Amino acid sequence: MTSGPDDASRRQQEPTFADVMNGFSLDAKRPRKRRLWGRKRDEEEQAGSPAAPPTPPPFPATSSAHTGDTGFAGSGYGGYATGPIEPVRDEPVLPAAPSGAAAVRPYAWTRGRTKSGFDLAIETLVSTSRQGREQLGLLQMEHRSVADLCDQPRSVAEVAALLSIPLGVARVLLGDMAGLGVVTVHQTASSTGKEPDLALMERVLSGLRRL
Amino acid sequence: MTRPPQPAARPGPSPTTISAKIVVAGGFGVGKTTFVGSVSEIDPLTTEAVMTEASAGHDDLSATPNKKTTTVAMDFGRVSLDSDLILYLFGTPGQHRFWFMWDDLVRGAIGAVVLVDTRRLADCFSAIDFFEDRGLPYVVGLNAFDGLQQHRVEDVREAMSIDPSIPIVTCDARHRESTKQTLIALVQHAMAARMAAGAR
Repeated sequence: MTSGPDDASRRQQEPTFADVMNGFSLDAKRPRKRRLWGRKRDEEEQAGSPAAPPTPPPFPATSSAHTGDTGFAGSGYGGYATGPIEPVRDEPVLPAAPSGAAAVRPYAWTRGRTKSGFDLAIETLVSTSRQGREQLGLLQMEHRSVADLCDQPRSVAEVAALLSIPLGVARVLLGDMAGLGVVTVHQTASSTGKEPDLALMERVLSGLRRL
Repeated sequence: MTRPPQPAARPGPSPTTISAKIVVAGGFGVGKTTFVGSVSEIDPLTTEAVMTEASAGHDDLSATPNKKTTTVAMDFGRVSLDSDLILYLFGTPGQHRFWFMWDDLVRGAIGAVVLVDTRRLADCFSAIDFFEDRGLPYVVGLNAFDGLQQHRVEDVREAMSIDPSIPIVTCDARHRESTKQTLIALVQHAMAARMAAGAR
């Protein structure tokens, strides 16, 4: 469910919710107009019945995108009165369905995470490991974009800039990929301690003089 | 993205390549990106970080989706100094309130170049205060707009009350050689500061 496209996950769930709806409420499949006309009485019935209320909340939560009226008609006080558990269980489905398409918000790539398991500075170099190159075709799409890019060593900042994703997203992605062994995380000047050491500064100095 | 997979036989990039970083700070429009671009082997890139305005870099955005977020952009360039050594130059985000970003920037940096437009001295005070607070070595670069230095270095030092131990150099951010000399001055200063700290 987490990796499937939004539509697929919705299709999988819809029968379930529809079944539930059919089981409790006779007008679940009725056309929109009729639902609106019958809404008030319907909600009164639901509020009075102990079995009906849990059903409306999940339905609008997942399907309001394709039926605009259900969010309005279904989320009456019947839902608020008795169904606090259902929407909670349902909510994670929405952010947890990244499709990898460009239209998906970058944070969906990271499934909402903002921290990486690796300590990646903005200048930390990463490069695609041999394992990463061998498995290129098997990688999920966003990892593959990174692996293509990091064929030569690139900094975390470069990966973010060249893929047009925020720095935090690049960090999480690269942390994941490093965990999978797909990319190698290189040393930075400060990896060994808090500050770059003299030997490295000496190398930078002579490098600058040669420019 | 559509490049074919690389042949497996191809030797991988050396995992020993390491990177170093220098921060370039200064007020808005003082020439940070020009400075970076004059020596960078790539056109300066821009990376963005999405953060909450109130956060100090430690907040988990996913837990508070309603918090007001903001985007901070910074420019950076890249200089290959050796086959296994890459130097990155990061321009600080112009807005003063994004200290959290600066923390990230200065961590592990060799030092900073504070670019100064002598017509707007006050613009760089916050940067200087920040680097002094963090103990990051820095040099002050007086960027010569229109190729002219309007003020003498010692006058600027006095006006800004900059410690005599901090190098002030004149530079022209548009010229590679000038930028290079400014960076050399910084690295030399950072090494001297490190050795002095080690001797103490």
